[in-house]
Amino acid sequence: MSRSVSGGASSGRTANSGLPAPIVVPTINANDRIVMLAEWSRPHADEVEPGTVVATVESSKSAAEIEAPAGGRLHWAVPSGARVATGTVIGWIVGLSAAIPPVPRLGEDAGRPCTDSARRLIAELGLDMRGVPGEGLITEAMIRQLAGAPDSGVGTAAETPSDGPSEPAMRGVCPPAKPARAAPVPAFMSRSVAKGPVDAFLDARTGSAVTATDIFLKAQGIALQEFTAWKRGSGGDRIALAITTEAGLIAPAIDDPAARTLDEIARWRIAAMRHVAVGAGAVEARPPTFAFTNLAGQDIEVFVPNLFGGLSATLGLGLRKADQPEWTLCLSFDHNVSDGFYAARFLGSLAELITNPEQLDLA
Amino acid sequence: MNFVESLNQALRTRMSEDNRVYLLGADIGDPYGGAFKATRGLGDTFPGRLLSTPVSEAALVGMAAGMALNGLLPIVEIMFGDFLGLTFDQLLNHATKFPALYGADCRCPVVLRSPVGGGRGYGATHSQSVEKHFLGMPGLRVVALGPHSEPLSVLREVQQDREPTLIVEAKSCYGEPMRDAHYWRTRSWCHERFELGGCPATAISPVPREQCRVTVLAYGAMAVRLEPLIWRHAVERELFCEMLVLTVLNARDLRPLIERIAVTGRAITIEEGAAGWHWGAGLQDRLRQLRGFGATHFETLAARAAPIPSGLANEELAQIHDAEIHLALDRITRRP
Repeated sequence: MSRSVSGGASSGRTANSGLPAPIVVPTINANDRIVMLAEWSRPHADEVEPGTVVATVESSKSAAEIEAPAGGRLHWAVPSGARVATGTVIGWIVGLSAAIPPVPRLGEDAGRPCTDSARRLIAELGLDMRGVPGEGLITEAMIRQLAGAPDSGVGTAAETPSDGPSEPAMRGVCPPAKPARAAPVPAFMSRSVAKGPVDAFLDARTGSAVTATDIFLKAQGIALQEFTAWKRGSGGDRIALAITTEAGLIAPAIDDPAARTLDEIARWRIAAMRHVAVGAGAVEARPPTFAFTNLAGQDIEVFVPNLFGGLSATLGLGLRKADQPEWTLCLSFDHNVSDGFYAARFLGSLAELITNPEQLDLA
Repeated sequence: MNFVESLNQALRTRMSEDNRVYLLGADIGDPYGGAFKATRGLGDTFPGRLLSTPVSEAALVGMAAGMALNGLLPIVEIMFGDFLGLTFDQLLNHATKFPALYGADCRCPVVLRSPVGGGRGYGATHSQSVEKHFLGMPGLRVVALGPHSEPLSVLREVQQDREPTLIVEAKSCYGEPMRDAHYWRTRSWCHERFELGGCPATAISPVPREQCRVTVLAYGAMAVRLEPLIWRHAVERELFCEMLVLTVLNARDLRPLIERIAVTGRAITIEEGAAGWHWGAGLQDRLRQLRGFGATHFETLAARAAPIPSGLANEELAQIHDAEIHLALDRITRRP
């Protein structure tokens, strides 16, 4: 199954205005930063209308069709079959009279500068160099970030001190520099919480649309109010609900769940899921946002949720099995937003709210 | 446009926009146009304001200082930096002292410009980087021009000053293309301008500066020489350096430097001039006096303190070798 997305980086731009409109690889599955350009649906240099499906990209789980962001002539910047990263410009819609260079060949050196270790890694991953987003020198850290691979510990990292507290002393002059680390290293912690009280609470509300997910959303909203630093980072009280669909992961966000009743949250959730189901897409979370993933629908009992795309933290909840008295909550977080102490405190507050769900109904 | 063309253009613009600007120097008139052709064509365009003088540097700087005291804006070319020694007394005991001795109304904005450095095999008395001997002279601003600095804005700035300016020009870089934003963009370097000492300085790096581990400070021809070495370190080793190419070498306010060095916490000056009481040492001393800088790892690298031999092959022996620069960058990166 596939879904269609506009390949344009910005709306309203047309190639006929003189500026080429880029065709950008969208995120089709948050866990796959590298996807394959399965095919170009229209020939190189073909004339296309805005919204025409011009390409199909495939991740490990799903596929997406990319539409022309503008009308004009299609210019392939990357050949079919190339492995490219999300966010990459794979082609352009140019004006009808613009000169179009020939189709690049697969595996051809893109001419973009690249460090030796990044070049080796690109070859290992089978990535097309044109499929690395951004501009300038391609570094190993960039490729590792795309591939979601941990830092190799080679090169600079092995020869230089880490970004720990022993970093060279410039303190007192300026804030310490951000470490030259590409991807934040996700850490996680988990806590068990009794589900009996939630079961009893839901049983008592027969006929209501409220589910455990809504209880968790509201409880997280309340528990997060304590963490002002997180709120500053996220720009508000917003929680994204990660919904896995066959087309990939969608994360619509709800504003200020702490101030809403459980019924309001349930209505929002149902509407968001319908929105996703009809393929209309949903308003996706803008990072940094706290996210909540419930993989019960996938029969998953316990998992460590992935931290992706600038999310400040992600809480994962697994399957409710009848014979299990507890859930395991799993929180993954990024040490530049919170540290272990605060994360533990958050999980503690959350567990307390979940085991006393009646108090959530009072608001 | 290359460096000497840009310099020529800047002199032309200054003479067009301000009729107080005069050029003085030996052999600077047409058709010769100066030893390095910086003044080519200007004598024909501004016949009364380009004065070809005898080879007497002391007399010519004394004359220029007098012109400056009388409200003119003289720019003196000293054919080779090595002969700046002959101007020393005029600068030390006269031009730089007038504004201090004769009060607020006294202005002496005389500008000396002179090619310095090696790379041409000219031997001991035509290849030196003599700027270090002038850096500690109170009241004298020392400016390094090369392909990284836009000469017109520098000339406009220093000619507004009350006090004299010495401009040292990277002799081996006259033919180098100017390093403008387009130059860096097409070569995939990150590039930024920042102000130091009233003139624009340049910051370049192969990757965004937050990812750099070392700050390299340089100017003139050395900055040009360091570009491929820094790029090589990035590509082969993923050892990323930010290079700050300075224009004003003895700026009073060093805070813009402090802020940039703080990003990496490690800095090294690399200069073509001879070691011993050199630019890097003076800069290090001044930075150390600033609060919080003491703990920053700082090194300086300069050429051997010896006369420069004649001939290019011998001259290279006296210069800093590429291997020394690579070793220094490695060493400084490994420092805790």
